[in-house]
Amino acid sequence: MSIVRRLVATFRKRKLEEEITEELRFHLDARTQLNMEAGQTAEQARAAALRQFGNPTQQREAALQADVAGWAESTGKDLRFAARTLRKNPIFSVFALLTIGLGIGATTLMFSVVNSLLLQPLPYKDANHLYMLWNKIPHEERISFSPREFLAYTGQSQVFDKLAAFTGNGFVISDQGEPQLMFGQLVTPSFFEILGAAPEMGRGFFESEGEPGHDREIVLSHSLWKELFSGRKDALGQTIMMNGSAYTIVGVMPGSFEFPGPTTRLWVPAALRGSVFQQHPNAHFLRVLAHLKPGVSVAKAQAEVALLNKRLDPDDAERKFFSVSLTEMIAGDMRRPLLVLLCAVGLLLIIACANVSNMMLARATARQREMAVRAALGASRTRLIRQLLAETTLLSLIGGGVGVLMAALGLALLESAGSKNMPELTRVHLDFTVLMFVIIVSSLAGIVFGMAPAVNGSKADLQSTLRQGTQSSSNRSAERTRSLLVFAEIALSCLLLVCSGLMLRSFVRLIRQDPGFAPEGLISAQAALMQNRYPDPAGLVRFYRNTSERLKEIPGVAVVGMTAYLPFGGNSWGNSFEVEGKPIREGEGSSAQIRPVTAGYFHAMSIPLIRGREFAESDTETAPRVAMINQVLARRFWPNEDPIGKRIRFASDWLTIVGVCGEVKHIRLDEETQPEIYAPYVQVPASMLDMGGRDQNYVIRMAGPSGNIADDVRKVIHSEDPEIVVTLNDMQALIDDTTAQPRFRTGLIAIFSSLALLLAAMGVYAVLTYSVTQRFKELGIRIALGAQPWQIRRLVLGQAFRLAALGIGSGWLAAFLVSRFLRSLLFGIAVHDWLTFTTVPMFMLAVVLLAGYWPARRAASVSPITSLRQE
Amino acid sequence: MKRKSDVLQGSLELLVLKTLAYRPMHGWGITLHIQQVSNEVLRVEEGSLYPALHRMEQQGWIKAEWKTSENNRRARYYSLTREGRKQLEAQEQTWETVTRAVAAVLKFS
Repeated sequence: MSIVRRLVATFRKRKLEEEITEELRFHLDARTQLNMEAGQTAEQARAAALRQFGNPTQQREAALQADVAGWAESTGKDLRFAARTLRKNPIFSVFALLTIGLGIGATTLMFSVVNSLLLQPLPYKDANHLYMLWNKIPHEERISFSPREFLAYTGQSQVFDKLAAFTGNGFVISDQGEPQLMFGQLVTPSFFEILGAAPEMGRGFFESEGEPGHDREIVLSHSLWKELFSGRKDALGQTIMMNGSAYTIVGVMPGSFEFPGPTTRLWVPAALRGSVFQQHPNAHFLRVLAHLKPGVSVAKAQAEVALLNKRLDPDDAERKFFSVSLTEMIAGDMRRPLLVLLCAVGLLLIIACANVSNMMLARATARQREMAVRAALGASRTRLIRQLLAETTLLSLIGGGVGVLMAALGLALLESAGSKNMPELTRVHLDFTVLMFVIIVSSLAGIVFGMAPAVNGSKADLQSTLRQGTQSSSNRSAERTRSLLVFAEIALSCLLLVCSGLMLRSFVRLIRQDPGFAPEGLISAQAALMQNRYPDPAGLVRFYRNTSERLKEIPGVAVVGMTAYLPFGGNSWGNSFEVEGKPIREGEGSSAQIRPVTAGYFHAMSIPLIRGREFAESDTETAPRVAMINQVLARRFWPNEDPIGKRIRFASDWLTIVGVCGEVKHIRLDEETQPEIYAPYVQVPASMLDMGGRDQNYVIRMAGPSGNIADDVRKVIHSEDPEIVVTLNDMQALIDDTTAQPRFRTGLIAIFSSLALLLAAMGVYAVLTYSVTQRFKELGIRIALGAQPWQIRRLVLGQAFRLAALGIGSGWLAAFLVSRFLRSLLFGIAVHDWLTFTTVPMFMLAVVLLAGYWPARRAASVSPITSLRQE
Repeated sequence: MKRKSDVLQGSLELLVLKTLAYRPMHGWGITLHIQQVSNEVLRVEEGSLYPALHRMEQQGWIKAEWKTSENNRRARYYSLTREGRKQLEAQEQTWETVTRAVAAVLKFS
């Protein structure tokens, strides 16, 4: 702030100097002229004029001094006086500061979130030239590339100069104390280069390291380096054992680099031509990052990507390729909710300003005598306005300070509450941009809430004010302004409340959405069986058989099942499939989610069986191949038939459908359930199990409370293989994790709108109380003339009702018009959900009338004698 | 430094206010006006006029604006504000009280 002020002063000073110089020159010239007219020569005249005038530089300095001192002094005087006034009314000041602080704090908080997540460019070099490439088929929106597709495309693009592929993988580090599972990425060598990310130590990958046999290098994240090597420099060149192989550490990335996400702890080269990838050349599991050539337009790039289908999958007419900018990938989902929240706090700030404005108007009315006296003593109107504006400026600046504190506090709360499920929150911080924002917003706020009271308060009408008793005109106009402000407060909070009501209702809908299984009392234990320890898929089956038998023996355990792809576990396996005797029609979708599960899985999860039977222990490797499908698939292919006995396949064997089960949500509660094919884990072909069956998720249904189920489960699994890393989860918690974002935004908007409502109620209360005080005499006369208390109450409540009806009506209408912008945030309710649109106005009416109740009661208890004597 | 004909210290403000109450003018005009009206008895010390004008402006008694002068040059014209008018009344009263008092003391024999 002081910089700004100094700048202004400097600028002002230069301008002043020029003006004063010109003014003095005019004087000197005039004197010279006069002397010349008296007969002196030009030189004599000039010299005489200067002699008489004294040193012009000195005079100029003196005049300038007077100006600057006067300006600084009166500003300083204004501020000092303002500070004194505020100190003299501590209750008013504290309330005003809290209200402004609240408004500015909430706005700052949301702005810093928006600033960090949406406005700041991504921390990658050339970020707006980075794209991610995807493909899609009917019923599946975002599919990764297969190794074959990626290899066929690399080096062939006219629009992208660099392409990188990456895929997530679990790595068990076994030679650094207890075996631990780390999430890492297999990346093609150009990965770091595309992102423009330089390691803080060592190097990235060489092109040659993308070849089979040369891919045993590793780049550590900063955090893993700290964890394993406590930040020692000699980590470079050392080897660590991961998944049974020795990897040499070649680099460490800085702490700020966490692509593609904060859970990534390490990067290793992906040798796409090696056996691991070439065993499954057509599985879609590679995410693709592309760097746009300089000077190539986005449209041209999109056109090339759109034609990829013909080049890469000429036989698969349904597959479509597309690109999404990295910025859109990262910020796309957050933009709408964040902007809605920013608008919400904006409204809250306006309401807060209206409220303070209101309080100041009330006080200005009370201070009218002071103003009138000062005007009588010669203070000009500008002078008075300046004085009042100094007060509001002081309020808004201190309020801005309070706001920054509140925002910092709120940010800390947000991070501690939400960063587990919303890691992007850790990127949010208060920076210089935010600080500038606060300064601008609080100054604007000061002007907004200060203008009305200043203009009104300075209209001090000497005569009527000093005479008192009669209501002065400025009084009445102040009251109109105040009613207008309260009306605006009610309208805006009604708008906010309707929006948050909609979001709240949709959130309740969301968490009440049936996931298709019963998560209560259900525990999942994930065991990751790495290829190095279980090279033969038969070993996976053996491990399962031994483990599940012993898990069932744990006291308190009722049923145990196992699946390779746990709902809400974060992984899934989509595959194409065929139906015997039914060629798949265009647009019907030829991809289904494959779920290798065991007997007992449906029972443990409580997934309802609709028709047929569940898998049994008798569906072994040697038994006839069977499958179960979910209702979505059944409806799509056998709408009027019984699918039991029909045959289906996703690998070489035909599977006979033995049962139909209910729909299960797999990634989010608000998703449309995908077609699902369940196959007995032990019957899945070895090659597929090798890739898609290495995560064994045991689902354990508890019959009752158990001692320490986590330890028991770990003990069982470790007795089978002590190097297996076990991750235990409560199923309900896994589901809750997926609702974190809606919970976050719903919670925030609920808090903001409650605050808005509180402020509006305070506004109503203040206006009515004041108006009752003003009408004391009138009320006294009414009571003296026989008005009953209920009539008086009705009088005041009627005023409240009029304010409420107008405000709520306008707010309701506004909400009706804008609620469609919330559509993408709502789930399971219409944008004009009638329940919200009826209950919120009634609720608001109740709150406003409640706020008017105390003033009404006070009015009814006016004693006619005291009220008349008061004047 | 002080010359006999100079305006008495403290009375400069009063004279300026009074002059401006007659009509708005620039600093040079004020100098001439005071000199002429006082029949050349009173001379405004030109060096202290401008600092005084600017000080009074800051106090809100007078306000200034740039206008074109008689000889077609830009000049800073000063005029009285409402506050200045009140100030003038107050100072005139003070002046009269003081001069009457001084006169009374001088006449006392």
